[in-house]
Amino acid sequence: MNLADLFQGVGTFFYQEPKIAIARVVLIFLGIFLVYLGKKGTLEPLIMIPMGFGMSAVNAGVLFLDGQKHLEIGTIFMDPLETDTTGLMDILQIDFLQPIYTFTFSNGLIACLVFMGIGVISDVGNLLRFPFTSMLIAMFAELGTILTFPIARAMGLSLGEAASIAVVGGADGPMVLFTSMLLANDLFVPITIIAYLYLSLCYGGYPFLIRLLIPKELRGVAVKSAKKTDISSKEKIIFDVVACTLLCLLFPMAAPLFLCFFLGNAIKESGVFKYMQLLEDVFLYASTFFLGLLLGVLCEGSTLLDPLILKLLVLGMLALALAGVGGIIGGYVVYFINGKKFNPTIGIAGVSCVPTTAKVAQKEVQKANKRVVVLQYAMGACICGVITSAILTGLYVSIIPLLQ
Amino acid sequence: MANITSTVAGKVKEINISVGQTVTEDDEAFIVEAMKMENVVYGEAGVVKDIKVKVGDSVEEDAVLAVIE
Repeated sequence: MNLADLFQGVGTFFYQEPKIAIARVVLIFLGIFLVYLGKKGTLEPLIMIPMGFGMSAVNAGVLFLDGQKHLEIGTIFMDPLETDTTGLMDILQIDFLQPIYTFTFSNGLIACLVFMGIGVISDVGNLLRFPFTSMLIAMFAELGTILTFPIARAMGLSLGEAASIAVVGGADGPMVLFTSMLLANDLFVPITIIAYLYLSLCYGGYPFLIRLLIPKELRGVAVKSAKKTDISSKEKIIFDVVACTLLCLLFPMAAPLFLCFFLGNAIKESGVFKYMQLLEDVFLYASTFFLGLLLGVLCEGSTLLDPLILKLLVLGMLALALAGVGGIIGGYVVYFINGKKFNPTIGIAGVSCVPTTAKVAQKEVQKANKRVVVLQYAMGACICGVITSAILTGLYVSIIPLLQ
Repeated sequence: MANITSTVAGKVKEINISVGQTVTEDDEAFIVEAMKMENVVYGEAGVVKDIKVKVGDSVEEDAVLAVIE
């Protein structure tokens, strides 16, 4: 027995390809750095703290799986690549995260559970109060989701990969996971991680985009709500049922996402309090936690070495920037249609990072004119953005397999 | 006479005025929390005659928070 067997975490470094060993070291420190940024609040702590820990631990806790032969190197966290049924049964009994990966990741269940939780915390009331404004802005905010696809194709990505990275522009983490699992299975880890990293950065980046594209006097424009209509919960549930059924009919491939979102929302509106608690406090947070942890654990040394990563980093940023620009263009369009009685800043909320972008809009407006409140319009656009993003996801996952 | 009305639907988090106090339009009279975000409701110039809500109350948009004379 040599020292490498006694301290396998370190010992394995010397039996691996040097570039994988270096990538492992980089990822250990990247994981720690993400935990730091999460704690500091620069990045979303809900995702980054479990993800950072997972990333560091999986790259540190590497061992020889075949005793002293030193040929097979791995971890006892999980094995995403195992496809053989018998092998999988063995791994399920050894790797502690394998059950969660096998039963909730590859079928999209975890993304759907997060979506159900988002449904519970979303209020479609503002969308129904300002349907025209919300829809117009949300459609413009899909600029990123649409334009990134041809750009990614031009940069040499496959149809599925291009569609997956384009969905980052929809600004919904679970939706990106859902699409990339279906269309770009071998790249779903980097694509989803990039999506979550950038989504956390939106909060810091979009204010600059707003200040760049909208002059201060327009940022302070007060919005006059023409009528004060209250949308009853009955109307909201009718909307949920009709929208869910229609969208499922149109896009069967994304039907799980639609079902979960609208079901969550209908539960909120019907006031079944126990279910609301279950979906929000248990399902949403449990899924978000495991999503973060598993994404971290999936970041093994070899993930970083894929040459596509660099392109994905650029494209992900581009998708979100274009989405922001598109949203603001939408805001301007409504501003001119409404005879200049609308605040174009609201456009950013069409990028459906609920409720982050709506809050960004409100904060920026308040900085320009402290008495103006646009939160209700922004939330309408934000919720509508979730639905338009899901529609585009539905389009991509239905059409791409036909083209391949 | 004017009223201070809530700019958003949410929950009253802070009340920074009291009956009899003279307020201006720049005073941060109320803080109403909506979607985990604190929204400041500014005052109207005058003397506070009545405060209609207490901390923790849920209010609708445009609900009267305080009567100013």
